[in-house]
Amino acid sequence: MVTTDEKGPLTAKKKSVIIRSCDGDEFLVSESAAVLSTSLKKILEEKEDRLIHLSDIDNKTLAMVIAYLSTHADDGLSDDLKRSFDQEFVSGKEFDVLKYLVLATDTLQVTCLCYTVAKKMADIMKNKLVEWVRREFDIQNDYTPEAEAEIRRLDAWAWDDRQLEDD
Amino acid sequence: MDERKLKKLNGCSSSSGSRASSSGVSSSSSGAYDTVWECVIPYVQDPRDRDAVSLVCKRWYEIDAITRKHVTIALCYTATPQRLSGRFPHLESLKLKGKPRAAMFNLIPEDWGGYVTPWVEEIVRSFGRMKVLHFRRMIVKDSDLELLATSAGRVLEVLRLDKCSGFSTNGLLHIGRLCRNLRNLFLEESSITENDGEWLHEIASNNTVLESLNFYMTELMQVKSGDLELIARRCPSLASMKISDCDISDLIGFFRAAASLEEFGGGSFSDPPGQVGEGVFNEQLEKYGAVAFPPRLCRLGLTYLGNTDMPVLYPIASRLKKLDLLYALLDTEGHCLLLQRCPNLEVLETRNVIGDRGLEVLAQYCKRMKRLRIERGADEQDMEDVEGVVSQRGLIALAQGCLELEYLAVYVSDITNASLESMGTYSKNLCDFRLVLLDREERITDLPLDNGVRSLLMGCHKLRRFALYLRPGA
Repeated sequence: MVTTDEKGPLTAKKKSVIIRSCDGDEFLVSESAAVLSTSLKKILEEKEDRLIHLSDIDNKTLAMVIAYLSTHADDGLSDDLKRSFDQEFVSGKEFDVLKYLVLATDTLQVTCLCYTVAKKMADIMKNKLVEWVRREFDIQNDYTPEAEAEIRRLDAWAWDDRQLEDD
Repeated sequence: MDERKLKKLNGCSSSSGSRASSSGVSSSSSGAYDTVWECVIPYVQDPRDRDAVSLVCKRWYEIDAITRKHVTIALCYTATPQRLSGRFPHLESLKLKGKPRAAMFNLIPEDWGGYVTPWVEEIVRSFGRMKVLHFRRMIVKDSDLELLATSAGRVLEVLRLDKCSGFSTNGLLHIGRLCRNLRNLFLEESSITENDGEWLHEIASNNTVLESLNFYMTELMQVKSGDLELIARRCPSLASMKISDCDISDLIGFFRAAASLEEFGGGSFSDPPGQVGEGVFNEQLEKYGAVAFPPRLCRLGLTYLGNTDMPVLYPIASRLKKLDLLYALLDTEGHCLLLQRCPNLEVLETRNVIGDRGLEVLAQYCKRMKRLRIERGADEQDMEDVEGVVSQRGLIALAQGCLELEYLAVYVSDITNASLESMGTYSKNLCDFRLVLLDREERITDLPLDNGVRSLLMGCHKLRRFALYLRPGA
């Protein structure tokens, strides 16, 4: 199956590449969009390979990343429109979706998107308690109660950052 | 490209397309999970959220430790320099506080402690990327500054010696000579022994990236206006300059050269030669008439600004956003005349000589006021006419007129419940409110203040800090 992105007809005249996800779906992407990923750019420079297989990026995630790349490669869109696309892109997405996006953009080295998504995830952690973070992100607490207490005691200085500006 | 990523991709970019080769990294494996958090945790910036991060699990503790860029240590004796570098080896910014706050009121002996020496030694030894250093109320020696300049001088971008003591202009000379990437040098309210003005000349000769220089409220007197002008010429990004006393009429060249300047503080106006008389006004105007402020200047604080000097400000009054009159010599009438020309003012700091009448003018003309600080005028009774007090009258006008007010710190001579109630009714953006009732007046119009305080607390939903200093029975 070959899925062309929305800008397909326009960019098809230009060079394009096929990117295959780990579930086997293939995406036709304009080269100008693909090279926004530093990793893909590097591969295209080295191999002139028209089919790139990404063994650790699933269908759903890859489709999102390609939508992002295509939008950002579109010279017809203003920076403002791209910015609002970015906002829209991360809003309302589940934690799991964001997690795979971070992994994919880190692998593909799409710095801007990686930043946007990572920032969004960091924002989710704002003003949350340790226990909430562990529960919500499903992270095993591997501290013994003693070890945790010891860190709190030894590093209290590192957490003493809530002083008022003029104190 | 990162080895790991290249390998991962090259390994699967073959066009064979065999699904079998796409073993992929399972997203639940801890390796991939680590990658996610390594990407995300650097963007957790609030120190409190960082605290939580470091306690989630051991791996997060490690990620926090290596990605933490800034630490504030509220009391320098709660940690050791070695513990700091062991825990956060890649710090780029450090704020250290020494003596307790009481030192600001001369309640702590000079040699109480708070020496930066062991910290500077560790910074030089362990932190190769330390760009921002902020020492507050600490003892800094010339040898510390020399070590910093010689060993970390090229990396250092911001140095704040904030209410510090123990050093001289000799130490600053090294900073000026070697810290060529310094963007911000802050010395405000530090006690500095002055040997000469050569340090400033070194900055002027070696630095082209300075954005902010502050030696406001220091006793450095041997500053040459020529050096200030040279800095302005050589540093196109210079946006803020706050200096010690230096006659404004000597700064004409500086102001002309500082095209990007947005903030200026300090300077001085010489006393009019005659005490009072018709000639005084014109004489002052003549002396300061040639002063032309830079086009972007919008934050200003002029030391010893008197009523007769005020016309110097009129040409730029309408674009002023911040005005510091704490050390000006304006009386109540002077405040009124100046403030009605400042429709864009957002921040004002002054003394209670502004009076209720000044506050009424402020409320009428300065609709964008966000932060207002009214300090107690020290023993200067001669300057304060009978109007030079702030009371419920001024507070009510302020609440009704300046609806965007976010911060108010004020010393009042009299107070009523009704004035606090109007804050609760109108000041919907207030997040920080501090009020001190002076003991100047024997009788206060309306005590106790329970109802007023209750209305204020119930009405100001955004309030986060609230301080009241009253008197028995209030």
